[in-house]
Amino acid sequence: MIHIFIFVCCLAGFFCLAAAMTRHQQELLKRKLPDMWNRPLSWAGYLVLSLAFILSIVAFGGATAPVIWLGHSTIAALIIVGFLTYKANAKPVKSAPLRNKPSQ
Amino acid sequence: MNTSFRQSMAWLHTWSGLLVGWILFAIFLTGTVAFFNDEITVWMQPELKSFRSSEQALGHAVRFLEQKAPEARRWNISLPSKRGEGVNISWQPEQKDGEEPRRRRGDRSTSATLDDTGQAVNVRDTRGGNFLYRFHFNLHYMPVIWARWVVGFCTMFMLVAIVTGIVTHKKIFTDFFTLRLKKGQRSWLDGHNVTAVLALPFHLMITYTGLVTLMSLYMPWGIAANYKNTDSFYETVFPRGEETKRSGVSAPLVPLDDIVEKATALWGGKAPSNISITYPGDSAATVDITRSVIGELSSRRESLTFHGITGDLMPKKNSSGVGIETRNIMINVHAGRYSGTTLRWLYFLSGVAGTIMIGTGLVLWTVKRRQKLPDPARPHFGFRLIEKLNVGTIVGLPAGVAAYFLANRLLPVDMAERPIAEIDSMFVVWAGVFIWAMLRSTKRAWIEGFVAAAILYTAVPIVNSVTTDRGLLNSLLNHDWLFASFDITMILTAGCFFFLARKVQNHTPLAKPDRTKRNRPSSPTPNAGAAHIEPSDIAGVTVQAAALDTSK
Repeated sequence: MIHIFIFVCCLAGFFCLAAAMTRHQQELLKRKLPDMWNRPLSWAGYLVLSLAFILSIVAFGGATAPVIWLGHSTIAALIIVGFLTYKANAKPVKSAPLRNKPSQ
Repeated sequence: MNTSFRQSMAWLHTWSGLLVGWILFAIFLTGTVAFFNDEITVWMQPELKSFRSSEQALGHAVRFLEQKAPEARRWNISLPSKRGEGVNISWQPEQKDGEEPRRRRGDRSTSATLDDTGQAVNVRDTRGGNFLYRFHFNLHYMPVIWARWVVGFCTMFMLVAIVTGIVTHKKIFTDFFTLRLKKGQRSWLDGHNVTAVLALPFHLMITYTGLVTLMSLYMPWGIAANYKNTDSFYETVFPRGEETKRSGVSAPLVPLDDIVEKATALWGGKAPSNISITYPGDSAATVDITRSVIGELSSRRESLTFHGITGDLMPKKNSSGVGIETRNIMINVHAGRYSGTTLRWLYFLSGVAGTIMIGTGLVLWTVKRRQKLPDPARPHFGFRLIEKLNVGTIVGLPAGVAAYFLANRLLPVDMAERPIAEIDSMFVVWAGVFIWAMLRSTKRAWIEGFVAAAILYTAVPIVNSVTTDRGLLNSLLNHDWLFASFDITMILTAGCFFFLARKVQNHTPLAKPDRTKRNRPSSPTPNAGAAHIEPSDIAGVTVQAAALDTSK
């Protein structure tokens, strides 16, 4: 159960970090955010990741907590990458017919 | 030297990675699978029904041993952990004068596996997951020491490749989440980067601690300078304790449950994993009890010795200095034996990422160079060799692992030298893929190899359900999660290989940006063309991930 908490925190943390990057906002949030949002978002990301780390220390003790936290954050980050890539990949397929229409 | 620091590091990264890439791929893949070595062994001995209750296990074991080997010099009892194995017991007969202690692992004349009810189960002879674990650092068909040197050499190159890779990577943070598909070489580089950067803590940890596990082999000089020989070093660091003598007076053994209770209290509630009794039934009997590694990173006080008649804790030279403890913790972190199921899967998935990293790195080498070849349709020998080695390793080894599992189910149960035959079938299939890759064009070899691997992985759960009564449906109905997840992983892996095969099939090399005017404007023929396979959508998440992997 605590594993799920830690994992969700890692996922949320990396979501914020990705959302703080202008190049990923279109895929994640379906629009570009004003630049002033980027910094608070990345802080939020770091904060939630730290929260996950604290959670794992409380639950598993200082010795294994880093291993568990790194494990969860690795997989969480890979899932965010997968999601971004999936979105970016799905987009051109949808917009392709639109682009082709005028030429037809 | 006109090259910049970064360029020279890029050169080092490319060539150190390429030189040992195939062996590293094999080490990483089998090592990743070996995180589940016990579970694989359980799957490979389907005669033993999943073990649930361990309360009576100890009593059963003692009763069995009292009947079977009352005169033995030593009894050894491995208690089941939560990883599904049965109670494994073995005994060491009293040796006659001048006779060498002769013990072979799994020798059925001095060992047995007990089930829930305390009956010996006639399990099939197999090396199980342990073979994959051992292959990961001992390789096979060669002397162990050579293999360990080879593995250590490759691991050192891995460390070099990781560090130079970090230097070479220009935009670790900007490209942190970036994986662009359908962009040819760019996509390969992204895939390589993403699996490398996101699992970087794992890669660094596993490579460094991997070297630490065999450090006394690779760097023997510390020992050589301070001890007469290696044996006296081990005797000092891991003292075997006083050699006790049989008294010849018989006395009843203390109830082992009491010993377990005492030890558990001393360990703060941690369970034991192993109990061995020296001179059972004699008044000089001693009981050694070892703590389970699950949930405990440190190895301190992990084994205790009790008097076999009175049950008192016996003093023991505590050798565990800070150095040894550090080493032990590093080995524990490397092997992940302490981890529960969730952490084990995290280890496994990170290992899969590492395997993909190596695989994409190897393919990237060819993708990057193909366009620059004078004639991409007819590459020179070195390029062709690397393409063939790529197919042979990246497809061949996973296919071989599937064959290993299949052989376990298909070979006659009472066959002589069965474990060796299982292992041989893995290498036969692996070699077969190599030969096939030599005979076919590279693109065809990738497609056919992936399809063959996919078929083999599909066959595993099917053959399992035909040859045993523990097929996927049954295990789901009986809540046998170990068997169920093994079969499901096989199916997912098969799916990934089919997916990869389709990706290669549909792949048309990107139109060449005609940067170098000197090149003939040759349109690469699709057939000889491109070992390119697009790193597929991570949509299928673990993706070709699991593709390159197996287990559980």
